[in-house]
Amino acid sequence: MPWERYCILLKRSLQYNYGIITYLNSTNLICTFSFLVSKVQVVLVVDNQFLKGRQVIVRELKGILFVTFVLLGMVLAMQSRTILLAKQQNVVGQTSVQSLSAELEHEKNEGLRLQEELHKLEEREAEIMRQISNEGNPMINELLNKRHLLQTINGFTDVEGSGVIITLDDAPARNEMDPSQLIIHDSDIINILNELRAAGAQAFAINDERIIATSKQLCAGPTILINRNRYPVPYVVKAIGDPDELFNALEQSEVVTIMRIYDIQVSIRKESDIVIPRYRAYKNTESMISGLEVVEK
Amino acid sequence: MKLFRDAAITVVCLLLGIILSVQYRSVKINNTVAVYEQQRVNDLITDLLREQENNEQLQKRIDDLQKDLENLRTGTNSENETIQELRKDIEELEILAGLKTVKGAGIIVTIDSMGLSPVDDSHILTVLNELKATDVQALAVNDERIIATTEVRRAGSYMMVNGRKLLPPYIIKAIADPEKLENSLTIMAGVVDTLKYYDIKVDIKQDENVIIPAVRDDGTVLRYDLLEPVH
Repeated sequence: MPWERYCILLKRSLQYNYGIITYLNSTNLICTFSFLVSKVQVVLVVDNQFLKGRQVIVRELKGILFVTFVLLGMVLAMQSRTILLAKQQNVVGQTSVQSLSAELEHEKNEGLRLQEELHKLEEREAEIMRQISNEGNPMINELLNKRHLLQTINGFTDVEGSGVIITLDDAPARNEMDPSQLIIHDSDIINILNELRAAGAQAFAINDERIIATSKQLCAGPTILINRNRYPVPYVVKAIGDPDELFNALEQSEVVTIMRIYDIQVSIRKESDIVIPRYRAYKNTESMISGLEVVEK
Repeated sequence: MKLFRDAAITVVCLLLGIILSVQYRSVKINNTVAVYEQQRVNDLITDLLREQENNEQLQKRIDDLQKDLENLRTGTNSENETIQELRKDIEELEILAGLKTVKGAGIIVTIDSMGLSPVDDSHILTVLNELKATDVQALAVNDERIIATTEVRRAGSYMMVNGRKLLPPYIIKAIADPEKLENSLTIMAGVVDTLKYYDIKVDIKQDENVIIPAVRDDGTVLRYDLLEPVH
């Protein structure tokens, strides 16, 4: 998985940034060089007719050959240097990339396992409290229900409902256009979420990252940072709300229209059973509100 | 013979030219790869550190919860204590959901148009996103609390936020470390610079007592009737 992702990123970066520039440079170089060569030869021909001396031709030729071989030597030196450099970098780069990716993958899996464990413990706690409540104190049950409702509002529970699923992918690379117009930016995602909010969506997630009040979407190179995780394309936005309203709002929105003009692949479909996972909270609630002091009215 | 020699040299030079250009191209690509590789390593390191910190936090929460569970099971916690704990949870969740008016150190950002072009919703959304990226804890635009489902849409000369019309200037209040919040906006080529380019004036003021009102609790803003729990 990390290798795949890496390949995609690499491909994108190469395609977008250097495709056009390198192509132009190589043709330019060939032209310039051929042009120079022809000039030298013209001088040579003129000299021949004027002096009619064999010695001069040989000297001129030697001069040209000298320059040619100097250039050839430079090319060879440059070539060997880059090969050596590339080898070195590959050894250093690849091992560190591979080991870092493996380590990251391991930490992520560990994180998921811990999330799961935490979730189970929370359920177990609620269960025990419910038992206590049933045995004597109904107040606890009431509070448990209230807490669950608040957790739902905050996006801390898995929810289900009908709505829309939007899939976004970059436009295929085309040489004649500015590459930055062909890729999806954080602002596109922000605008799509805004349209969904305006159309009354009640819960949403991007690539199953639940969006809560303080969720951010940041562009970080060819990937987008959502909550605390980095994602490459494609982006899958899920939203629960009135499917028709959400669908129509998006189809008519400026952001989707513009993206489609640039050939960015946007598919919107209505679904009846969309499951949106809970926000993966790493910190406890207390530290998410540590700077807030309640003002009683 | 002379013609042959000239032709040969031309061909050699032409070939050399082609080799040079190919070389040039591959060097350029190699450089990109190297730069990319370096960036990739840096990204991986930051990701890894963040993930490790996340896991430490999670482990801490698990340990706390396990202790609580043990207390519950053995009956060390009395019913009153359990109720107290639940009340505390509820209060915290209410604050997080924006159901309470809150006060804290933060910044007040005033956004207004300097010329002909009015403030657009995208300008406000960019500022909000940047503040969210700085771990903001509470946000409001013209005292309309920003929650997960809050929209910001321009309609002519005013802005619709939480279904309510807001008129310029737009005053964004944010609670979190004021220094960090201000830096996140004023960073070079950041939001403030970008907005200046669009003829939008951004004024930032740090304040020790930013007050952010609770979300309107009339059932029009906080809606969750379409959400069903997953079993």
